Order: sequence, then structure tokens, then C-alpha cells
Amino acid sequence: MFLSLLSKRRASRPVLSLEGQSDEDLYRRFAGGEERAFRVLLDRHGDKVLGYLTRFFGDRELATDLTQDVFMRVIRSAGRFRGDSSFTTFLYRIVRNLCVDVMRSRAAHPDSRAASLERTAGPDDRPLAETIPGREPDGEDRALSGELSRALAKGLERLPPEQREVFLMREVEGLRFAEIASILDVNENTVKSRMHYAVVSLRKALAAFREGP
Amino acid sequence: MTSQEAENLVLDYVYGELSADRKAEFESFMARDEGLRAEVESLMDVRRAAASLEPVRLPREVRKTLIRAAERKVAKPSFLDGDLLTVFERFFLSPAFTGALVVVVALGVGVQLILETGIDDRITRIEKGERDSVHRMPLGRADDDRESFAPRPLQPSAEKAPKADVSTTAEALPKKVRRRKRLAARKPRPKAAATASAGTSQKKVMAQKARTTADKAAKLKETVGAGSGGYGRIAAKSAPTGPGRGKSITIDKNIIGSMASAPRENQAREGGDAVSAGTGARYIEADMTTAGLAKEESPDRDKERLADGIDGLNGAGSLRAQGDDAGSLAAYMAAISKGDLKGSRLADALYRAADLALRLGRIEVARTFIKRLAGLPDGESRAKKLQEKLKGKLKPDKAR
Repeated sequence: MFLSLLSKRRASRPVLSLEGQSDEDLYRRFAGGEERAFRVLLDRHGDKVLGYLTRFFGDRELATDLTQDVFMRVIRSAGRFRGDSSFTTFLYRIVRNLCVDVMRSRAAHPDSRAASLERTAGPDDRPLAETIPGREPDGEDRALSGELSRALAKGLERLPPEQREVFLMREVEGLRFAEIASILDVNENTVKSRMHYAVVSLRKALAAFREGP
Repeated sequence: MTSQEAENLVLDYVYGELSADRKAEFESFMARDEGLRAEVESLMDVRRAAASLEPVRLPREVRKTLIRAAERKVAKPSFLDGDLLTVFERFFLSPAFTGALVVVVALGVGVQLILETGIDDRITRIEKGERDSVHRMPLGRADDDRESFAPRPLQPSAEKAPKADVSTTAEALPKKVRRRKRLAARKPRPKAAATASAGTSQKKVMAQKARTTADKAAKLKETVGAGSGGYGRIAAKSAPTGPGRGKSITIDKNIIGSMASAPRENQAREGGDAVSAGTGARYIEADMTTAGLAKEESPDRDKERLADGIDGLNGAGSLRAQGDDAGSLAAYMAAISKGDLKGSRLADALYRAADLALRLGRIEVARTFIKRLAGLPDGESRAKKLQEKLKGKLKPDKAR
């Protein structure tokens, strides 16, 4: 009887299109055994997390590794997600914890990998700041946009980490200030304050770029 | 809206987090404030610059790795994954739970059975304080005492032995044994035996055993005759196997030698039962009680037993009091030859033995004891006395 109830329960799970599902529903479905739900989540957030980490550390390779770690943790934590917060908050808490770990490790070992955006990497030995991809406009715009991106990357590099993370979460990931406050476990006004300082610093950096050498 | 309020709302406006009303209010204020408009424009520039950054693509290999990990996770979920019902479902259907349930049920049934029926383990019962009931169990004859190989508590000495409730004890005996006891009770009891058994009412319980042991008492004379310390030594070698094989048990003077043969026979009869030497010893010790009971049923057994010197000086004295000089002498000889007596006790024994020997006309024996007595520090005077008696004894012979 117990077994038949369980089988009925399994059979009663609706088979819906996963694309229209919320992140939270998808994650619960994944925890319930639907592997496809994780694919959808990865499609939605994989690139964003990689972009965030790439811009935060300025190291594509490190960011890729960390992104993999983030989603491994997401996989392992399936089933423990209670839905108290949104999936995005849950995801970026993992991201932030990893970032903090790396920052601490970097502080302890200054010569370690991903030391700075100035560090060279890859076969072309270009500064990492230059490897940050930007939009690819045509002609003159392309050159201008590329330079703007690099200027912005340099400006980001100079930001304190707490301002940098707020800026990236808001600007690149599109998280609302309230969500950022929740992820960082700080007051929303604190988030806005950090954002304000970040934007002012970046504005200066961009102004210097426009004025030229 | 004040300038300060507008300043605080700039970021919300730039990032579109103002409600429609607040947004309209902010825009109307901004239209009047040139500085605020410039501020908003510069922030928009930053936003535009950030938007120029191209989104990064997750490498295909990383994606594949993650999807494989997700597939593995789905195939073998963690125990606590899923909602509460899923966890319960997983728990109750798990082989570990089933196995544990079976073990717990089996243990419960086992414990219940033990509580209901108990364990027929005499050692456990002894530990539980059921010594009395073990005492009351018939030590049995050769044909019913398989149980008697189990360890039994030592019988307390005669003077310390508590007086047993005979009626209760008798009830505890099997019917067969009670019948034998009744029959034994019908036989006339000699006065001496009755005296000897006074204060040992508990021993009556063991009367049945005495019948068996009495038959074996004759063997003791041989062992006593063998001389010092040879008697009472039981070769557990008769047990063909088991831990007792090859071991021997030395019975001290307080252990009745005739009883020593009982376990030996039992061991032999059991033919390889793992009866250890220690168990045998305990068995013999328990049988001491039975030996005492022999008095009650068969007063002659006393003489034979005491003549064997097993009870030492006390037994010899007892026999002497009964007027059995020969038996008393034999008991003294046995006690002396065993070599355990020292000092004044040895002197007393030698004196009394020599005296008895003289009385019985065993001159050579008497001489031997007198000679030995003379060699003792406090035996010289008594040896002289005996010498005189000996001389007196010899004179009539010479005169004749």
C-alpha cells in the first residue's frame, strides 16, 4: 500500500515545459531527479556567473574554474534548498563565498594565480584586462568600444572588492539592490552607497580615458 | 522632493528601480535641476560603457562536465536531497533501514524470549544469587549427574554452614531422590553418626550422593596405603579430550579422597566432555558435602573415611573417642605421612599415634613415632613417657 502510494505520487508529478519555470521550481525539480532542469538553470546562469567572476578577478581561466566549482556546489546542494530566498540569491551567495575564499588565498599568497588584472596569461601574453571581451562593433565604433571596455576593466580593477562586487552584481548581472543586500547580508542603503562610490570612481576612469593621454 | 531626496534616488532612477509615481516626481524635479541632470547623464555613461562588455560564454567542456555531474547526482541522489516526503521515502525503502529493522526485530524477539523463558545457565543463576537453589540440586548418582559438571559453589565449612530448612530442601529434590532419602531415613542411625552429623542438616539433602561415594571408599585404602600425599590426587587424564586432559587435581586434606574418584569416573564416563580440571575440582569440593552425609546414612563410612586420614587429626580423634583405635591409628598415620602437620600439632599426632600403636601392640610403629617425637623440640618429655610405656609393654613379653 505504501509502495503504491509512492508510485502514485511519482506518477502525479506534472510534466511541464521547463523553460517557463522559475529558477526555484527548476532547482526543486532537479533535486527531485529531473536532470533537464539543471540544464535550464545552467543555461540561464552559467554565462552570467562566468562573466561576473571574469570581471571580478580579471582572470578568465580562474573564473572558469570557479564557475565550475560554483555549479558543482549547486549540484551538491540540491535538496537542501528550502526556498527561503530566491535561487539567484542562493547562487550568488555561493559565488561570493568562493570569491571571498580566493581573495583570502590571494592575500595569503600574493604571488598566486590571478594576482591582478595586469598579470599576463595565455599564449599572446596580453594583459588580462585586454582579454575581457567587449561588444564587437564595426569600424571606428569597434576600436572605440574596445578601448572603452578596457578602460572600464581598468577602472573595475582599481575599485575596492566590496564596490566592485556591488557594481558587477547590479550592472552586469542585473540584480536589484535589495537582492544584492540580501546576498551580501548588508543594509540596502549600504549597497547603494557602495554602488554610488563605484560609479563615481568608474566615471572618473572613463572621463580620463575620453580626455586621452 | 528636496535636493537631498533626489540625490538619494539617482541610482534607483538610473537602474529603473523607482515606481512610476516616484519616477515621474523625480523627472519633474530633474527637469528643474541642471546639476542633477548632469549627474544622471554621467551615470548613464557608465552604464553604457558596462553594456559594451560582451557577455562571456561558458566553455563547452565545463558545461559538459557540469551536466555529467548533474546526471550522476540524479542517478545517485544524496540521502537528504529532496523534500521531506522524498527523504522519508528514500529512508524507509533503503536496504540499510530494512536490515536494521530486521536486526532490531530479531533482537527484540530474542530479548522477549529470554525474559519469558530465562537462560538455563547455572552460572548466571549463581550470579543472580540463586546459590541456594543450586545447592539444593541433587548432585546425583552416576546416571543422573551430567548437570553436576557445571561449576558449583564451595560448600561452606561445617561450623559456618547455615542451617538449611530441611522441609524446603526436601521439596526441592526430585521425587526419585526424596524417595531414596525416605528409605535412608528408615535405617537406624548409630549414635556416633548422628553426633557427627549434628549441625549439618543441610547435608541431608546430599544423602543420595553418599550412596554412590560409599561404594568407592574402599579404593581409598589403597591410596592411603600408598603413602604421602599420593591419595586424593586425581588424574584428569582420564578425560580423553578437553581442557582437563593431562591435568591433575590435588585435593587437600579436607577433601574426602573417596569423593575424588567420583569426578574421575564421571569424566571417564563422559568420554571427552570438556570438563576442565578446575571444574572437576569444584565438583569434588561440592561433593565434600556429600561425603559428610555418608555419616548420616552409613556410620561405617565414617570409620573408613576417617581411617583414611582424610579428616586428619579431628577424624582420628573422633574415631578414638568411638573406641576405634585401629581406625584412629590409621587416621593419625595418614595425617602424619601427609606431611602437613607442624610443631605441636605434629607432636600431638605422633604422641597419640604412638600411644595407639602401643595399645594395639604395634611396637615397631610405636617406636618409629616415638623416635620421631623425640626429635621434636617439644616432644622430648612425651617421648620419654612413651618410652617408658614401651618398656612396660616389652617387659611382660620378655618375662614371657
